Amino acid sequence: MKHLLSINDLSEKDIYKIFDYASQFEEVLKRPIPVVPSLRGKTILTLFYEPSTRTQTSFTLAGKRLSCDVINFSFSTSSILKGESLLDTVKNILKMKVDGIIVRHSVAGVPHFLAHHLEKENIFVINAGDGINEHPTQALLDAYTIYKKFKDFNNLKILIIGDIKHSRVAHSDILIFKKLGCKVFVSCPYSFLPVEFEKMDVVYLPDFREKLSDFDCVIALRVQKERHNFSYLSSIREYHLLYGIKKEDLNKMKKNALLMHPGPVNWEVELSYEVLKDERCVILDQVFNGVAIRMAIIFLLFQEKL
Amino acid sequence: MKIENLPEYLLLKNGILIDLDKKEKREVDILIKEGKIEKISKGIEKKDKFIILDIKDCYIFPGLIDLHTHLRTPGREDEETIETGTKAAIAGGFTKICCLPNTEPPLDNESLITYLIAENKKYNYCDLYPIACATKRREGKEICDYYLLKKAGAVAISDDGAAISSSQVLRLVLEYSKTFDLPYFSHCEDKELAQGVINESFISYQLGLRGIPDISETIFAFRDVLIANYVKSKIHLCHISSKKTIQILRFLKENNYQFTCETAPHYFTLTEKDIKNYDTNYKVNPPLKKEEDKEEIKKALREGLIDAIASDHAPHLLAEKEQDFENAPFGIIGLETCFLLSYEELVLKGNLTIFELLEKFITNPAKILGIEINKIKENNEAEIVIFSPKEKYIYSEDKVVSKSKNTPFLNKEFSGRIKAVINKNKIFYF
Repeated sequence: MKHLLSINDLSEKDIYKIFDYASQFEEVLKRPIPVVPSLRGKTILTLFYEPSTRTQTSFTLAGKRLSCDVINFSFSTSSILKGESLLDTVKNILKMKVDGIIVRHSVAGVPHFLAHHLEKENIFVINAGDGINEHPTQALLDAYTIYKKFKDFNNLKILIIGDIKHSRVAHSDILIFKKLGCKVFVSCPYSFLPVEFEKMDVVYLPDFREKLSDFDCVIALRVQKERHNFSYLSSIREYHLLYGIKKEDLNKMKKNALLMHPGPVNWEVELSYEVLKDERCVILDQVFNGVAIRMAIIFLLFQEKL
Repeated sequence: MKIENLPEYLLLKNGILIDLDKKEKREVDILIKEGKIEKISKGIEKKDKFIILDIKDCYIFPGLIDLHTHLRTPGREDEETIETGTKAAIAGGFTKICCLPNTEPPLDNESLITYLIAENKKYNYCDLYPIACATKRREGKEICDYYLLKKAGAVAISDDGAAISSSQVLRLVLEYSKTFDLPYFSHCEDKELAQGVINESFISYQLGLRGIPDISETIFAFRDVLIANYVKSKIHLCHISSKKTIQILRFLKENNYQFTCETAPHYFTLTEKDIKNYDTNYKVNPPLKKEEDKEEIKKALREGLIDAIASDHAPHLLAEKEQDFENAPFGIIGLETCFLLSYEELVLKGNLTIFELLEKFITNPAKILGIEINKIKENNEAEIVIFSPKEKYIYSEDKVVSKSKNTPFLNKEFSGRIKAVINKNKIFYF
């Protein structure tokens, strides 16, 4: 595999290989000097057309921990503001001799577009989130977080709560969990469900609280107000009431369940602040695992082992 | 493409004339003298001064009429000009085309209509019938001067690309246009609902692209026909693409509502499943839909519910199309492939006879526009398409006549080929 654009690009074997490498890189990250010289002399570029803190930092650190030179492209200082086209940007990047591009864009398909135009070059493209389409590395780190806890995905029941229609995390998560053999449930108002959602092969729960004790993992998604042209919700207050995870919900959850969130969290919207203290809440572990997963992906793409 | 003036005498030998009135095919020779059809008969004797063109096994029929072309003039001559657009029309077998008014500036005054007609006469490859704006600047607010527009040469009115959202304004448009017997060409799309780039479905979810629900077309098609029938005005629905719209139109037809409608070949040859790798050559408006929509369109063509097939020729620069799917413009070129695709999908696959197909391309469009067909008969000017139904033809990039090359059908092998077109005392070879 040359690029990582979608979870669909990965076989089950690829996913476990990434986990295997991530667990080795976790060891590196726990060292006093958490760096290995594997990719010395290589250069990657993070091309983020959308604001990002954790993903861009996570990729930057992942690259640097592998001794790779990482150049961060910032939208606010780029020629995009002067009207440069995406293709012109790519052509310029090519001349600068980078080895890999990590791209985030508000439009679905932009990483595919870049990969298509770079097909003849020896440059990989990683999708770090494209519009409402996918966020494959987030799905990999989510799955890895679950894998570390359960070591087996078969018959795990996973509930995803939130804007399934507009969330790229939900899209990639559903793809990876189904690929790994989990049973996936979603809960949200109907305005957050894609049309023909029944083809997604997930179970829709209008009221997840009735079944909360069944789940091995609950993933709350951020309400992404910035992606909505319209008011998909009546109010944040009502959303929190119906779909926010509160302290009393934790009492209904399994003792060994996981509570996850891709971040950044809107406290008192998707989650009550109190739940952070619960040991089942692994939001910060997800962040740590993210660096290891991204190190594994970058490393494997350079080795052409995916 | 080679263009030559007709010789004094041109004898077309052994062609198969498609007689649309008698619905029969017959082998004939046609003698053309100084651009006029002198004689149609079997076995016309050769004379020394005759230039002979042997067209054995080729069909001969009158020039096709396109109800829906975007010529991009004025304003976007970088994408298409009158010269390149009308040449592309001829390459596709069209000798009469209507150009839509969503230009820059839009065709909302008579001077622009006059300009287009004068500009077309400079090249004189085919006849041009401009369609003027229904409302000023296509804003859907104030109606245009239909009397002056018609006098200048406009044959219909439309705000194509933008539906008139106010039902009251639409009513006024339809009432006022009736005064001058100008048909209204409706772009059926509820823009409030249609805020996306491809058909809303599981595929739009899989690709993460914003979807346009099919009902956005259906709702406005229904509304527009109701209003037009309420005020008893002529309405023509453009580029119908969905099964639901057809179901509603069938109901309206059964209840004696009056309207005409067209579809374009991509709606009965492609589906949303063809949108792979975010290729913007599949980004059209209305968007490509499902297999069941495609099949329903073919059924409606068979039933005669859909009156016409139009190209919806929409040229765009490579630089505009070669960008992300969201920001790339809607539309593909279609003049050169419109008839070939239709012949292959509809006639060769047994959906329509050649006579029924030509009704969609000639007889019905002429009725909708209220214009005469220049039939292939003695004493008429020669306006003839020579089509070889047995030849294979690959539509490669070097063969594209249009100034733009945005088409998903590049490098497709067609079963059938337009060999030549005779029009305006010229012969065009392909």
